[in-house]
Amino acid sequence: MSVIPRAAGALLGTAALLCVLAGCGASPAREQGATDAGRRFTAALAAGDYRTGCALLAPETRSQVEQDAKGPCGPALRELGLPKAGAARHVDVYGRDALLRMTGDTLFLSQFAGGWLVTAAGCEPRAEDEPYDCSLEGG
Amino acid sequence: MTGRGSGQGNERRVGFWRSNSLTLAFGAAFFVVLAAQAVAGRAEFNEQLAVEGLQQIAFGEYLMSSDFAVDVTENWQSEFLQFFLYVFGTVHLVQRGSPESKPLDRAGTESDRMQRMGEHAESGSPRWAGTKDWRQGLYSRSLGLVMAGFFLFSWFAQSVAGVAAYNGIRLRQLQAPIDWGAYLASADFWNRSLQNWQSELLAVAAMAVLSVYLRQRGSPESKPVGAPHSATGVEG
Repeated sequence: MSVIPRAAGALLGTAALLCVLAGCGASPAREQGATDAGRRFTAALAAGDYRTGCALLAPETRSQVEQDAKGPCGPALRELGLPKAGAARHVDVYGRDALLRMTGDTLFLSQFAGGWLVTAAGCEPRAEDEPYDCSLEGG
Repeated sequence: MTGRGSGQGNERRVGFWRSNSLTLAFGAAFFVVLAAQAVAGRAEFNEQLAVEGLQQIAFGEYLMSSDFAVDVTENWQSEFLQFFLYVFGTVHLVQRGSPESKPLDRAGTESDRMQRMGEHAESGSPRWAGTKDWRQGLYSRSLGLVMAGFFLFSWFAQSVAGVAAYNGIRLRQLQAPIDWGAYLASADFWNRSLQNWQSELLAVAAMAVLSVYLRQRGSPESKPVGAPHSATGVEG
């Protein structure tokens, strides 16, 4: 009677499959993609290349920046004076969304058809469980 | 197994599809409804993403997502919990007049003779039923144990998929993600679990008591139409 050992094997196999499907751990490629996009964004701002910075903003976030400033994205981004960011310290990726902690700044990103884009930047943690307080975010 | 009686002889003449129609029909319906759930689930998920101004996801990607996995497994775990509790609960608990219950004087695990175990095993009995060691103990509880195993596995899968889906929501709300341990204590995990459990328990209680007074002609889940309300453990 080998029904029970067989069932246990099937259970373990299905558990492993489900774990992969459910995204138990984000793939290194996704983590790298989010990290690279965050680095490009902060490097662009550090270099004063606000045009590239704006191109790396998610549509909703860019629209909010322009709406708040009542003007084009580039100058509005410069006016925000986001903190200078250094090395990437840690990235959390779940599905198509990421939190990138860098030295000097924290960014939120989301994956779009063309790659990862910044949804919020200049973020500081508030009390536990409350959303981060971000200088730049979507509506 | 040696066939005895005209019932088994007749069963041999029934073809594969007919003789397994209950499993096949419900199994096929499961896949159809699961696919329909995936279509509806993706549409709802994309509605949320559209509101947040984020990229909508393709059907294939949704099938691989933690959002789909948690919605599926939270229902699986509660169904297996229901059957586990029903299988184990009906060993000791009875309902006067219900075909789902044993006669009131047979509550409990019953004797080896009534269960055709050990030295009372028959030629057609499963091999482990005729043993007198741990194999008999395990096999005599195997239905409930496997149901319990499926429940625990599905519940674990719900927690794993759930924390990933929940963290996706948290990131979109500019909140930091939480770990698996914190998720097990979260309102999201318990709300998903408890809302399913209460409905399963209600369904079992309703079935036990409604089958005392109501009938479904031809169904083994019902008493024969003419059986008295007081008849317990009689299947139609």
